Amino acid sequence: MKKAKHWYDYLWVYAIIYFALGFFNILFAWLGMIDFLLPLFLAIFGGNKFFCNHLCGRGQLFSKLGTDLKCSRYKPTPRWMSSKWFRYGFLIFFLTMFGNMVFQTYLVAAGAASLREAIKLFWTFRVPWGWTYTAGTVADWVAQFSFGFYSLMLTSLLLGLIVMVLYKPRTWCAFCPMGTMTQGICKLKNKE
Amino acid sequence: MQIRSSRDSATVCSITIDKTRCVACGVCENTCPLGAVKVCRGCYAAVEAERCIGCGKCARLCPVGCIEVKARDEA
Repeated sequence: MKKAKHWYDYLWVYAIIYFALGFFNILFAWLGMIDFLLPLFLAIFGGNKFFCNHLCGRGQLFSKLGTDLKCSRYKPTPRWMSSKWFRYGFLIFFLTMFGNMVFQTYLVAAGAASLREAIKLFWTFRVPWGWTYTAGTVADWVAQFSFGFYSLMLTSLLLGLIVMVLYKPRTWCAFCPMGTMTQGICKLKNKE
Repeated sequence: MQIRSSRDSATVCSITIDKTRCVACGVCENTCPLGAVKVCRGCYAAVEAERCIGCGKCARLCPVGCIEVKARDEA
């Protein structure tokens, strides 16, 4: 039986467009804030994970690649990957890196540091493309946040792709920091 | 939880979802061809026994492996 398609079933296209746009102009990284704020908004005010369940373009992309394009091995996800300590540990780690990125943005805004035009994978490896930003287009702190945020998004995408290939299409969802955070909020809100 | 097939009245399989391990990602909800699985208030997934046909699609895709479908001998 085929289920009726909704407009939000095609948000995997948005995920591709997002990363493609950032590849050419880093300022599009700001669009990623939707993926950051909307799940929290829906969890806090709606008490649900509608974003994870229906609106997550990244998750849909993993499903498309893993299921439709058969890029996943469909091996069971290791149990530790969905354990509480790992999920919350990874959430704390991700929030720490996010906080550090915001702090770097603050330093640039305050004039205490200069803009670093670098996209880094796994907070270490610098991606060799330098055409994504023309200096002076916007305030330096706006650009700094873009570089930091895009790096974070790209790193998490790569992590998701790796576990998608190794295990199940949406293994990333087992420890996605946003998913962990919103489920925690829902549990608190609904007293589960 | 026991479930009944929508095709016949015999109990064909039983399905269990480990609520403590479920991450409420919604993969099962989106996969279920009959809409028998739903994520409850963003906390965990639950199965509507009367609608489930025990196809096992949800269990196959569940990223944390917290869904188990078992065939029943008396089916």
